[in-house]
Order: sequence, then structure tokens, then C-alpha cells
Amino acid sequence: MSNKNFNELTDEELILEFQQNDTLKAFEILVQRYKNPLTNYVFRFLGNYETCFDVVQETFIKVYRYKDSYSSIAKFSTWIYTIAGNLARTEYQKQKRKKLLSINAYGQENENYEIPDENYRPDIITDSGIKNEIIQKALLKISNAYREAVILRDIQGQSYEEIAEIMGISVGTVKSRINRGRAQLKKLLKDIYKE
Amino acid sequence: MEFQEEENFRNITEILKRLPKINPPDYFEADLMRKINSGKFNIKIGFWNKLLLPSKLVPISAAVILGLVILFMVHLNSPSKVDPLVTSPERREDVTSLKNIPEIMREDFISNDEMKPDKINDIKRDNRQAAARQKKITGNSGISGNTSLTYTTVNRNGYVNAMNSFGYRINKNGLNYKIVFLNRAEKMKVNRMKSKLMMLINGNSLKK
Repeated sequence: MSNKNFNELTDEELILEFQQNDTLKAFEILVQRYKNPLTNYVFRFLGNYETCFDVVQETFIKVYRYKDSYSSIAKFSTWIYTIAGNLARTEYQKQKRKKLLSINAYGQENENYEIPDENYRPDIITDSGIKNEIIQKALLKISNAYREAVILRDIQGQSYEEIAEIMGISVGTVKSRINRGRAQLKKLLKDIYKE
Repeated sequence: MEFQEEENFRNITEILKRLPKINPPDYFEADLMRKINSGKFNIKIGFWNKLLLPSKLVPISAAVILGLVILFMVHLNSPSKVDPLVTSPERREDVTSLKNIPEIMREDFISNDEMKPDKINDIKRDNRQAAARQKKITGNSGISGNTSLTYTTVNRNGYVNAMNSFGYRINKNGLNYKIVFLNRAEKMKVNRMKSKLMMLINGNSLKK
């Protein structure tokens, strides 16, 4: 099969080719197709570029190693987003623990501190870069479950059904989580979206 | 309803859609393929795997752990008593041996003001006479001549003082002695022996 033909194949056909014939080219095309959306998704979830890079790489390594665990009944995008989501969640919890430990090392035990957000100054918001940073920080302030749903829907443009499959919850729960997440964001970003 | 909710958050969804797309660096694929080809996956090793790696150490680790478990079990089940054949015997608190009483203390017993010298002399004389009588008895009945006779006096405190044939007093005061309770058969045996002895003594005195 030529390269051109591989590029014309769907994701499911490519992973099947990779499963059956160990065709590395099929895997490389899948990497090309998903590296950007996955990096964007994981970055918006974690808010850290370096960690996001590692998580996306680990996602592809898992796809490479456990290619046989993929079942053709599910969509490939759902499968790879589920892997990335799980890894991102684990990484987020790890970072959170690290942050708490480093703060507790200087302060009293079991005491959590709210780090002042110096960038959040509505009076000096002029640059779009700063605005984007504020939006990212607001995203990180909402709870994990809401954040994941909002990112998948409003940033990645996934359907409710796909989000339900990725997160392993019902469509109704997805909708409610998206609405609650949006409501929290609205509260946090009220000074920005008025403009 | 759904449309209305979408309308309520239209500003938010617009803001989120306008966010710039984050892309990986150019070397992403090269780096990924290098990791895959080198086989250096970021595999997380569990605690037990870490403990038992490399695999050659598995039997050694198992043997060491087993040894420790056995040692622990044996130590727990071992009796607290020491082996009498290995260790020197301990001094029993409930038995007081006269041999252990030093000479000075024996003198103290005798020089106690409760026992006047003339009384001691009387007791000694009695002891000698009794020993001679005993010699006669043992000569007739075959009882061992080592049997020592003890004469008792009652002091002013009501305690029983006794002076044996070796010339020092036995005082129960402050003595940690052992009480032995005899059963019925043992009591009968002792009584039989007592009566036999009394009969022998009486028979000898009548002969005299």
C-alpha cells in the first residue's frame, strides 16, 4: 500500500493496519493526525506546556504498545482521547500533590494557601496574550470533571455522545457538567466577556 | 431548552473557541519515534517489582524473607525457661540452707540475749545425752546415726526457738519456709512412723 493510500484511510482503518501488519507508517499517520488536537486538549487541562508534551508522548507510546487492546467497535478518536484524558488526570493529581507538599514544607501542616493571582488585574487587560492567560487560569480553577467536559465540547468541538464515551458517563451528565462548568467560567471571567 | 442554555453561555463559548491552538514542537514526532525505537518507554515500576529486580535476585530475596519469617516464628514459640543443663542453677528463694549462713551469724544466734549461756550449756548437754540415746536406738533399730535431734524453747515473744545438735538455734521468725500439705495417705504413713518411733523410744526407756 502506498503512502498516498495510507493518508486516505480512516483512523480505524489505520489502527487496524497497524494491529494486523505492524505497519509503522499507519501509526505515524495517526500521530500526525492527533498530535495537535491532543496537545491542545492536554494543555488546556493541565496548563503546563512541558508536562503536556510528556503526557501526549506517553499517550502515543501507549497506543503503540497496547494497540491490540483497541477494539474496532469504538471510534479511534474516542479511544485515544480516553487514554490522554486518563493520563492528564493522573498528572494533574500528581502536580496538585506536589504543590501542596511544597507549600506545607514552609507553612504549618495541613494548611493550604491560596496563591495570589498577580496576573488577574481587569484594569490593565489590554493584551490578548494576557487575556488568554487569564482564561486558562480560570479554566484551571473549575473542577476537573467540569473542565474536561467544557474543553472537549467548546475547545475541541466534540459531540455530546463522544464526550460521554470518553468520560465514561451518560449524555445527560455530560450536558449538566458542561453547563455547570460554563456557569463557573462565566462568573470567573465576567470582566473579560463584557468587552 | 438546550438552545436557550447555549445562548446563555454564548459569550463563554465564543471566548473559548477563540483561544489559540497549542501545537507540539517540531521535534515531537522525531522524539517520539526515538523513544519507541530505543524501547525506553516510561514504564512505571511498582514497589514489589523494584524490590525484586533484577529477576536473578528473586530466589535470594524469597529465601531471605522466608528465613526471617521462620526465625521470627521460632523466636516467638521458644519457651522462656532456660535449659538447666546449659546454664548454672539459680538460687531458690523459697529454700534457706544452713550451710549458707556464715559463721558470724551462727555466733550471733548463740549470743542472742534470749539465750543465756547457762541455758545454752544445758541444751548442749541435753543434746549430747540425746545423741548418746540416739546412738543406742540406731544401733538396735538400724536407723541412720546422722539423724539430728532438735530441742525447742519458747522465747518471750512466743516464737519457737530451736537448737539442733550442731549448736545453733533455728528461728522461724522472718524465715521464708515452705509449707507442704500432706494428703490422707501420706499423713497416715507419717503417723505410723511416728507411733513406731515412739514405741521404740518407750521400749528402750522401759528396758533401762
